[in-house]
Amino acid sequence: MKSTIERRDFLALMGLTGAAATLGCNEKASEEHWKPWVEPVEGIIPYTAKHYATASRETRDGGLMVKVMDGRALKVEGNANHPVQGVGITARSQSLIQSLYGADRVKTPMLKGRKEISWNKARQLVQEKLEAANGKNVSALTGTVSGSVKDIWNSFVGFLGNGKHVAYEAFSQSDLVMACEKVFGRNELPFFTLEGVDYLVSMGTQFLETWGNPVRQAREYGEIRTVHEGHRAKHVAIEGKLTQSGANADTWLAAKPGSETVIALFLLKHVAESSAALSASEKELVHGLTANVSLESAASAAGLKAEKLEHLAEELTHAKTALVLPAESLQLGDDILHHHVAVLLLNKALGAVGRNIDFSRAKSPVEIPSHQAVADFVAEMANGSVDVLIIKDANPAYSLPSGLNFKDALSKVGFTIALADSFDETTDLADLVIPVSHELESWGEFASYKGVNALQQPVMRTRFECYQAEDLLIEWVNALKPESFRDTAFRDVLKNAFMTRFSLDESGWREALRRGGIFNFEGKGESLPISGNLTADFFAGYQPSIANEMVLVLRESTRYGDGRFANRGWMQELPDPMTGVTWDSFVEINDETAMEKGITYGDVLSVRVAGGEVKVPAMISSTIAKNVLCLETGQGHSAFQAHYNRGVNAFSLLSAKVNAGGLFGAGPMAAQVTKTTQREKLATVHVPGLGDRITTPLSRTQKPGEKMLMGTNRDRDIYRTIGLAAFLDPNHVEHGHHGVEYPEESRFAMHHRNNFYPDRNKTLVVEGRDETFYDNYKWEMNVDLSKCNGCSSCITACYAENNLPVMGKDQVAKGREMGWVRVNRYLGFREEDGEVKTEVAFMPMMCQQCGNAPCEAVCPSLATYHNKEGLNAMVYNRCVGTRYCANNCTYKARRFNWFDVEREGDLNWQLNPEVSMRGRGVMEKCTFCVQRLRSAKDAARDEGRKVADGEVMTACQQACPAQAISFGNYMDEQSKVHQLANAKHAYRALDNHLSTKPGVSYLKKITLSSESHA
Amino acid sequence: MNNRKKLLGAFALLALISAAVVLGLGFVPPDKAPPSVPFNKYAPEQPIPYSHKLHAGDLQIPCEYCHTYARRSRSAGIPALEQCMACHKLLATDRPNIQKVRDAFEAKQPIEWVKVHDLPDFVYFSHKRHISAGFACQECHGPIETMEKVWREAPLTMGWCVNCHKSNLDKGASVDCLTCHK
Repeated sequence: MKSTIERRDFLALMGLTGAAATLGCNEKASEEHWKPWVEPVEGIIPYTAKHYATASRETRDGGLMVKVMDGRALKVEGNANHPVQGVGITARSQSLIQSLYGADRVKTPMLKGRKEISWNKARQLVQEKLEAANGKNVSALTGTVSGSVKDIWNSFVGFLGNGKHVAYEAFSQSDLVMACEKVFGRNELPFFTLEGVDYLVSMGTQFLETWGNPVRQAREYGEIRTVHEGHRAKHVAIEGKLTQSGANADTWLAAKPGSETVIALFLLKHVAESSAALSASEKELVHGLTANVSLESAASAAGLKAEKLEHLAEELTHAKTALVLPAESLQLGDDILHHHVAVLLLNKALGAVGRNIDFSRAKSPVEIPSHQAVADFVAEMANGSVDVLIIKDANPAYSLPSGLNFKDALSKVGFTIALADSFDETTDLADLVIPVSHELESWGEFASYKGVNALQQPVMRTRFECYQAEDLLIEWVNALKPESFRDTAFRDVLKNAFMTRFSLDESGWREALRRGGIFNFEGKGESLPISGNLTADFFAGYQPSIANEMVLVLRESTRYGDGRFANRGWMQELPDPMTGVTWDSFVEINDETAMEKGITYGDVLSVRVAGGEVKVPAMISSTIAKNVLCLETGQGHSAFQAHYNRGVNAFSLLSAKVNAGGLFGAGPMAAQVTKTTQREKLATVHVPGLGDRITTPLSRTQKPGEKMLMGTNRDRDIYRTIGLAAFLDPNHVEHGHHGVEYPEESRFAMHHRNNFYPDRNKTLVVEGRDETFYDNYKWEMNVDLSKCNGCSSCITACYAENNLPVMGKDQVAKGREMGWVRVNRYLGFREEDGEVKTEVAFMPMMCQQCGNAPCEAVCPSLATYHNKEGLNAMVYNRCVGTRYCANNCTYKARRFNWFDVEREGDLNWQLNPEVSMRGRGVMEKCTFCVQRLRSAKDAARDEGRKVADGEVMTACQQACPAQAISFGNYMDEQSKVHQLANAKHAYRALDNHLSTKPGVSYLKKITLSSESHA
Repeated sequence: MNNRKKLLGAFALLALISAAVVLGLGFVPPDKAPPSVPFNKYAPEQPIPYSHKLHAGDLQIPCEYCHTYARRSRSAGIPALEQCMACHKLLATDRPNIQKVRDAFEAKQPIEWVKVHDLPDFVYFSHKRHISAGFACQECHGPIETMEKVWREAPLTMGWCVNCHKSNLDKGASVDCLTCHK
């Protein structure tokens, strides 16, 4: 056959290729420039990270430590000096850095409709408007502010006329404050601590995610869930929708939404009878209050078996240190105050007040705004009595109930100025938007619990012209009324106020900045008597309103919160811990209910409640009670960049009526559900595309008697548990999942060990020479499954540390999300007392750094290999992208770059310079934060020693609120990780089947059941 | 077929022209190159013709007097303008290049130097480690104290790095990929 290419054509093509090659090799094109300092800043060394303590509005009661390198903020971590925060941090708080660099930042002053104007013009306009309104009503609407920040805002409105300063937060605990006033006569929010609790009841409380101080609570929860002196705390979750917190409980009682108060009252009645914590008169009062409550009525209202409720009450009565956490405010309807009063009384009867509910460390009510203030203020706006309104750090246009008609009210305001760092729905309604510095570029302070005074300081310079909001307020007032404020920079106002308040000198101030504030957080723990505010007729005539039909409950999203987190890629791509859904709103619906109604996964449902209607795709779930629907807050935006405006806004369904707890009414809402003809594919990380039943194939996920979905019915023991009795029994022999005793290793593994791979831990490299494969270090990780609660903070920490790209919904739906660590959620079903009991297990899964790694053997380019420190090393620029390794990985720990990902806005400023950027066609995975190992070894070498145990932390370990992860050198027999890996209940995932010799060990979850498996 | 040939011919011509242009731009004509730079060594033009021969050679200013970060950081650092001005406030103030430095300092505009030694972004290299192991700057940077214009002496290839690491295993050098690949 004759070749179709001719000589001339060939030469021409060669010429073209040659030219292209020359272009590619042009040395000038790759020339890099270096701009040194003009004047060096003392203490700043290139490529050397510094950490600055600060705080933010998003973590009001917490403190942050921000890693800054070469003038750029890179990563947000927990401030270990901060008594409430500690070293752990939630996923949400870590995403603060994304809003600093995000594409939604306001960069110039703008008129309505996002028309850019110059700073001069903006200043002139503000001055004009303020001058015209001077002496009239200039008001301000902000998020909660405290200390000197609050003073500035108050003085600002005070100087200019008769306006007022209103604080608004979409989520508030004012209901709990009001109940404390009622029961104990203390108008403040007590500090809840789980320390030393041996019996915990949560009633839908998301105490490991959003409620109270989740980081501290997760730490304490991890502590009480580990075995101390033969005991471990028991946790009972009473909730219709199993939350992530509830998923960790030993028992889930799927009570009907709306029955929380009746259950609490029944428990109160039962416990109070023999309570030693109540005085005789208090007992009498409680007796009178609970006169109408009976076991039968409570059980039937809750839809629970009476024995179960009685058993719970019995256990609670006999528990030594019990604590009951109240329901989330969003779950409670008109009985909100009744519920909190009942729970506080119950805790009083349990002796938890003083011990776990501490009023000596309470938070002042001025930090907890009620919604009444904002409702009144919106009415005032609608009257047209506000001349100039200044809005900052609040997004009422998004999060106020639609019945309040905020938009109309705002149109009646003379002139609205939004001081904003990022666009949102409210800034789009404002007449003038003025860019202000981001939280990481600002000064401020946050007073929260007694003894916690956190300072906020800028960690980097602003990248474009914008100013601290308070500086602008001072400037504007001083221009109208000279000398109103003595200090013209807010920094000085703050500094002087802080130094006076705590009688600090200059060095004291510097030390406070360095530590992140002034902390003196010691609880005295006194119990309080029941106050006279509570009369015996408080519950008279109280009737629970429980719908027998379908109800919708709202919950605060772990990821999007009140909506301000929704334009951050990390949060959109973070899977919901329970359902694995990313990037979208969804309504969670029970699988059996869905089957009855003919609803399948992805059907768009129309959910109609009194407050309105939403159309949302259905997520079929086994972790929600029958006839309950759940929708999370935070999505449904319109002002962000297009790809972040997704889903529906749950706040729009709230009632505009402020309830007895001072909040916009929510609670269980009777809902009408109809299936529309539309379908929408949800991007879920729990087995994408599997269909209606979202289960995870590696565990027993079928309900008893149900047909298998996947091709195997073997429980592969990837997740393992051990009963407490077995854990404590020194002679215990491990049994398999079907009760059959099986040897430590399967035959396959033994065969492999004897014939295939050498054990690098023990085998000598050369026979006869005393030299093993690992020399100084073998890095290993240990994850305690009793502590891990599935919060997924580790995932975001890994995104921040290792430059992981955000892929978007379509790619996640194809299973191409790039997280190096994921939190597997396994469901287990077992039959108990004729009922199907659902169990949930969370297991963080990252590269296991196998000693006998399946991936290494198949790499044709030697890009991945086992190094002498026990790492399954990955050399990115050596990878040619065959993807053999990922196909051969037992743990699905490898991720492939299908694309080069462009980062929006200035998000590439966030990239960690210590970690390579991986381009398209390259495989990537966890390497135990090898950059951190490198710098730890570097520091150790400077001092001529080895890296000490605990000196180096991986990013996931550092962020973990529950402190479930340990990391260290296995070669050091004294190290924590060595000891944990050799603990009785330690195991290595799938090692007994495949002999992969993972470098990650897990501690089996210690359960209270008699069985030991998953 | 004929049309296709013509098209390809045109492409070839275009390619040759662009190749010629690119080659012409890329190569410094030999007569303009400073004679001291050895053939085939990379020596980019700098905004100010700073002489290491004068400062480090004739005047014998120690390297780390200016490159202060070398023993403390991955990067040796290029001195801040303030450092230049420490001497040049008084010295040689009449020369146009020094005046450029002074002007930049007064305008607070950093001078953009061209990197001579630029490692790929996927490589981790620490000056600090090498200096604390006792290596002289010249071992990698060549006879810097004789260079009027700095050139890149070492090829900075992986083989070059690994060779040196291999012969210094006793000093604690490692040949593990992850030592340098990040």
